[in-house]
Parts: sequence; structure tokens; C-alpha cells
Amino acid sequence: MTTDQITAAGAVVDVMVGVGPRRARLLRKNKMRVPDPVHVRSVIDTGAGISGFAGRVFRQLELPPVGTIHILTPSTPADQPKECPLYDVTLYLVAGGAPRPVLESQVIAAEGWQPGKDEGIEGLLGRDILAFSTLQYMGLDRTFTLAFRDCDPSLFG
Amino acid sequence: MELDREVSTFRRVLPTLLADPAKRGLFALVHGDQVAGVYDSFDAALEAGYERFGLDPFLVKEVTEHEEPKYFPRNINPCP
Repeated sequence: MTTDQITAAGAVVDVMVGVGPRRARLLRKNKMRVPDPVHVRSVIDTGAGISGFAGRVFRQLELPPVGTIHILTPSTPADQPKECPLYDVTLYLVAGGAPRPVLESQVIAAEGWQPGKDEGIEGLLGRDILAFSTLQYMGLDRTFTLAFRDCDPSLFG
Repeated sequence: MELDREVSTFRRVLPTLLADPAKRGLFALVHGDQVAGVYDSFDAALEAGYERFGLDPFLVKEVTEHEEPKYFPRNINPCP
């Protein structure tokens, strides 16, 4: 669970994105290095149907896609969704300085972030991930709380 | 885009898969030019993909006539 101030960018959380558990197990089985999870400052967005992170995250993880998904953005015509790669990842929530795995999910790569600006945000947590959480947005207090169920870290490889 | 070959294969075989009502709504596992199997869930197909193809590329895709797009309120270009 993390509780933090609502900033100008909104409800911003620190997460880490790692390779999915099945790939991690396979890499270990083949005595190959499992890339370290990548830190991504992300904003919670209940308007997003899927979560996405900067392309650099997937490059650092040396992660190939496992599927594709049709995506609509503010600039795509409603009848012409884009087909984008889908990546299987483990998501870690960073709370109290320690990352804790919270779920496996399939997410997309997104660009258009502004390094050094926008509070360093390079990720967006959408309803696909929020569906497994409890989110309290206390606008009057300018705080929010995001919590996930406790789960067994060994499930994540 | 990575998986171009698998996506082409899926598009080619989709009409055949859809012709079988029992396969609608299931998840196809595609490797290269072949559909390697059809599974009840995305997770099951993913598990099978790693078991059968290891670190080689594979595609998991729902067998459906109309894929409902997801909304993402940021630009996504360029897709890697």
C-alpha cells in the first residue's frame, strides 16, 4: 500500500516493471540473466483501458511482445485503432522504498513522455491494473492511497 | 513490428478458426507460420507458449471477429 500527496500531475506512484514470471523462470532455467526490474514513475489514470510504459522499459528488459492489442488514442480515428505489441510483465509497487510484486499483467509501450518534465512520468496505470487494487482519491485532502492484495512473492518467479 | 510473421499467420487462419464455434473466444498460440494450439485463456496459451517455444517469439491472440479496442490517453507512436 502507498499513500502520497496528489501532485499537479495527479496521483503519481513509483512502480517497477520486470519481466513476467514465466519468462523469468525460463531465463533462470537456461542459466541466463534475468534483467533487473526498471523503475518507472507512473500516473494513475482511470480513463485508460490498459496500462503503458515508455518503450525504454521494454528495451532494458530485453522483452519481446507476446501478443498484440488494438489501441485507440486521442489522435486515432475511432474506426482505425492501432495494433500495438503487448508485453507480459510483473508489476512491483514501490512503497517505503521497497518494491513488492503485486501482479502479472499485459501492458503496452507508449511514447510521448517528456524526460525531465512532467514530474518524470513515463508510465500510466490504467483500469486493467487498477481492477486488482483499492484506490482512494481524497481530493479535499490532496492525498491518495493505492493498495493491492498481499500475494506470495514466489509466484512471480 | 515484432511478431509481424505471427500476426500475418493469425490473420490468415482466423476465418478457419472462426468457422468452428467451439474455438470462438478462445486464445490461439501462433509460432511462425503455424497455429500451435488453442487454449481457454490468455494465461494458458502464454504458459504453453513458453513451454513449447522457450525464448523464441510467439503470439497469443483471442479468436474473435471483432477485437474491442482499448483506450489509451497518450500517444503511442512509434510502436517499437
